[in-house]
Amino acid sequence: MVRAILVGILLCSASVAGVSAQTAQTADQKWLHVRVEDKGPDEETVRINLPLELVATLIPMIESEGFRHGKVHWDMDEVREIDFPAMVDALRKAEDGEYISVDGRDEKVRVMKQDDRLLIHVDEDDEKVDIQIRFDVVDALFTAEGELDLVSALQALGKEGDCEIVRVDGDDEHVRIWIDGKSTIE
Amino acid sequence: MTRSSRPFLILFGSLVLLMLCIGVALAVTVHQAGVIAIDIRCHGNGGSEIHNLRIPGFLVNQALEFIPDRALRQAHREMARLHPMMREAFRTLRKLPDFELVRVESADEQVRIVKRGRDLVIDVEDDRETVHLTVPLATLDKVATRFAGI
Repeated sequence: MVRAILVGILLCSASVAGVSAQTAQTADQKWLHVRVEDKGPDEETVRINLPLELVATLIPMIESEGFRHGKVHWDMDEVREIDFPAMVDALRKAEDGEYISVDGRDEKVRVMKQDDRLLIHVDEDDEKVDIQIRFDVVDALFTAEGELDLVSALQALGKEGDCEIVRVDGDDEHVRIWIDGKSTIE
Repeated sequence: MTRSSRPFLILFGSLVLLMLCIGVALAVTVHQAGVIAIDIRCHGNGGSEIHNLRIPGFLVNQALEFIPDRALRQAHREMARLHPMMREAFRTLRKLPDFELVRVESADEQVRIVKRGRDLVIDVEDDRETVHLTVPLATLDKVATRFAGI
């Protein structure tokens, strides 16, 4: 009888231990961080910290006009003549340098290639925007004709080390989006 | 031990074992469902406060079954679309290590949402009150499922 009770207790303990094991840490997890600092009258800082795994799981489930299965679908008639993968490939093989430069009265735009990255810099009167994206991520983005594959791009982002994706520095607002291996909010 | 008392002892022992098994099974069920913790403290005079109220998630899960479908008809339409995404989010969150999901800091309000163990912990602090809420992810999953009418 005592043996039966002990076996019962052991079995129950094992099931509770199994539940606790579910919270075990996931190794090599990459995190998407978003920080928005509003320096206006209602000073506010918003920090969002999301595991890439969670983002990649949820994005395919979002459905709206022009966005389905984690892919942005565009009207091909407007860009039928442009072979985006070939264009990206040519850019990757090209030498580092500034490729597009637009100087407007209120805005300056620069598109540069530096090592394995595409850099886009927009300078407005009250705001500066820096976007940097690796070519393997761009490749993943343009895997199929007429669509941008965000899930593949996210997976490609997660394969490499820490990187900053977007930085917006405005007079009243600072936005930063980056990826690293830290699960903590800075 | 006399021969006449032996059947009685076996019956008594079986009952004790049965009670123990039911107790352990109940404990495991309650443990798996988690506990909802609510703590609301108002600053200054007046207002109602809730100090460290703890509700087993198991009870909430059971209570959800008593909500009539007609009361949730509108919610069914809205939630049915979101439910697969929410379910997947809760399932993935459960597997992940503890982390801070959101932090909002302003001059008059602080909000923190943290994934801790199998729970989602929400802390809100403003000029008027401090709210601390712990909700098991399993309970959130059950609520979403019930509201989606599945």
